[in-house]
Amino acid sequence: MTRLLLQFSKQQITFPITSQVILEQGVLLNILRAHVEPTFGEILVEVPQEYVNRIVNAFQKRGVKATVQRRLEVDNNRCISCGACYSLCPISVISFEEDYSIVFEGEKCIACGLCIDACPTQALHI
Amino acid sequence: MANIRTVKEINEKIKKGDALVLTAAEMVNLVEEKGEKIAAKEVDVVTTGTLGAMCSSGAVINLGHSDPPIKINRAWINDVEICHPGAAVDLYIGATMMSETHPFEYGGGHVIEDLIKGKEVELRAVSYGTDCYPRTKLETTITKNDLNQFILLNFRNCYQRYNCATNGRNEAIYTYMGKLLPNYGNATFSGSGCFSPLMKDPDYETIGIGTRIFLGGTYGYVLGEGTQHDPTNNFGTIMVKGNCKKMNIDFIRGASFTKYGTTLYVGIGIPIPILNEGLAIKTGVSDEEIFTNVVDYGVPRRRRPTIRQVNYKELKSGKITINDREVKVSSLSSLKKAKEIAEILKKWIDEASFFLTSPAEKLPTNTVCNPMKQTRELAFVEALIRPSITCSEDDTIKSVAERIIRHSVNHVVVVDNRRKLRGIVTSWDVTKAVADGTKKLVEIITRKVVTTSPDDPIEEAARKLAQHNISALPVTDKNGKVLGIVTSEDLTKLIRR
Ligand code: SF4
Ligand code: SF4
Repeated sequence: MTRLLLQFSKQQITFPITSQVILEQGVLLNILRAHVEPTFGEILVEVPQEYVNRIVNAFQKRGVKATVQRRLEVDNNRCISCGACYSLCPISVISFEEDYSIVFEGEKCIACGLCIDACPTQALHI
Repeated sequence: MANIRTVKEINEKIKKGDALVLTAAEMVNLVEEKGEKIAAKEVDVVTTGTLGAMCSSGAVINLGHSDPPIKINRAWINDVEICHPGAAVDLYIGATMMSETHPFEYGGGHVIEDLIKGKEVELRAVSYGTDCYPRTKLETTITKNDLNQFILLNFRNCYQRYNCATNGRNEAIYTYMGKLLPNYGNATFSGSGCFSPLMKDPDYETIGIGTRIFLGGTYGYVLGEGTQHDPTNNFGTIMVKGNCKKMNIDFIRGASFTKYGTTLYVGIGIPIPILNEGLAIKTGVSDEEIFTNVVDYGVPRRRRPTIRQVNYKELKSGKITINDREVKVSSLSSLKKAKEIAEILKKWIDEASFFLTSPAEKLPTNTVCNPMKQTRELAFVEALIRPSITCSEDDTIKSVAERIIRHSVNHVVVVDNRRKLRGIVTSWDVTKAVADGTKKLVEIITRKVVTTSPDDPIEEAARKLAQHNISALPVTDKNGKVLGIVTSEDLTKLIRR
C-alpha cells in the first residue's frame, strides 16, 4: 500500500471529490487521517501500489494536490532492538518501551532519512 | 571474603532443581529490598547478558580436503576475503573484513550470519601449488553442514563497560559508536549496565579459562582474558569460543556501521555463582551505581576529552544532559536482548540443562593495556600552528593590504571582537579587489571557511587543503575561536621531513 496525502483548497472542501474519485476509478481508498479546517483540508489515504498513478491523476484533474507520502519501513526480521536509530530521529517517531523494545510510529515519520544510515543491521528503509 | 558455597554444591542443587537463579535485574531488586546478607544466603546464581557489536570476532572453519588437495593461499567467501592463519584448509572469517564488491554493506560478520542461518555461500580460493598440494584454484559453494568445524573464536569481547560517545564537531561523524550528530546533537553508548557480565564480577572471582557461558544462542566457553584487557581501569575483556553450528541468529548477527565498516553483534551471558556475600553485593549493583564517561569522539585522538560522567540509569532513560542541553542517547547494544539472554540462561539452569564451571585459571586483575609503540610519531596540527594575522569586518581593503605586505602572508583571518571566525581574505582577493575597483572589505570576504582544529592529524589537514584546493586553514577551537593558522607550505615541509 502506498500513502497519498490529498490537499484540498477552500473551494474544493465543499465538493465530494474523494467519493467521486472512488466511484470513477472503482478503487477503494483507505482513509487513515482526515483533517478539515475552514480554509483547507488534508486527507491521508492508502492506495494499492498499482493504482497510485491513476488515483493521483484523478485528483489532480480536479485541482486537488496529491503527493505520495514516503515513510519509514522497518524490517522486523533484521531489527535487533539495539536502539541506534532512536537518538537520531528529530521528531519522536522512534521510542522504546519498558522492556527496551523499539517502537516506530510510522504515521509521524517525515521521511527525513536521518535514522536510515544509523541502523547497523540495515533494517530501515524509506 | 569467606565463601558460603562452592560451584560443586551449586551444581548439585541445579541437578535436584533446588538452585535459586535470578537474573541480574532481579538480583538488584532483591539486594535493594532485603540487603546483601539475605540475598547471599538465598541466591545461588545470578545470570547476566549483553548483545552488542564486537568487532574482534570471527569464526574458524575447516573445509576438509579437495581432490586434488589445495594449500589455500588466499580465499574469499561471498567476495569477503578470508584469512588463512593455519594449515591448508583452515580459514578464519574475520567479522570486520569487508566484501570487495559491496564494502560497508556486507562483510565477515554477514558471512558468519549467513552460514549460521544455513545459507549456501560461495567460496573461491587460489594457491601457488606444491608437490603435496598441487591444486591452484578452487570454486565451490558451501553450507555449515559441509564444514568439519565452524567455531566462533573471538579474541576481544564483552567489554566490562564502555564510553558514551558524543560529537563536538560541527559536522556529523560516523564512528564505531554509530552516527553522531554535530554539536553534541546526540550520544550513543554500549554495554548493558546492570546486566553487564564482567561488571557483575569485577574482580573476576568466578570468571576465567573454561567458564561456561551463553554465546550466540548456545553455550560457549571463556578462553581467558581478551586483548586490551585492562582490569585496573574497569575495562576488562574476554576471549571466547563456541560452536557456530548450534548458534541462533537471534543472538548473533552481521552488521555494518555506515562509513566505518562491518562487524558482528554477539550475544553473551555469564552465570555468576554467588560464592560469598561480596558477590551478592557486586551482582546487586544497579544501573545507578555503574558509571561511564561521556567522551567527545569529534576529537580524533587516542585520548579523547571527557565531558562528564554519567550512570547507566540516565543512559537507559534515553536522554542525558550535555553542556546544559538535553539530548537523546541511543544504546548501540540491544538492552532488550541483554535481558532476554539473562532470562534464557536462567531458564537453562532452572531446567538443569546448563551447569556452572570453576575456571581453571581466573582472569588476571593486574595487567595493564599499553598504547602502541610508534617508531615515528604522527604530528598533529597543534605542532604547526602559527599566529594568524587578523582583521575585522570594518577594516578597509587598504589596511588589509598593508598587513599582507608588512607580515608577508597570503591570508588574513577575519574575526569579531571575541576572536570568533567571521571569514578569510587572501592576497589574491585583495589584488582582485584593487583591479576591479571594489571598495568594501565585506564584499571580498570568503564566509565559508574550511577550518581545522589543534587535534587534527596533519594528514587530515593536508587532505582538507587538497580537497578544497586551498593553501591555508584557520585553526579554531570548538567554539569557533581562532587560535592561529596552518599553511600548506608548513605542512609540506613537515610531511616531507
Ligand atoms: S526518517 Fe526521519 S522522521 Fe522518519 S523515523 Fe527516521 S529520523 Fe524519524
Ligand atoms: S537501529 Fe536498526 S536494528 Fe537498531 S533498533 Fe533501530 S531499526 Fe532496529
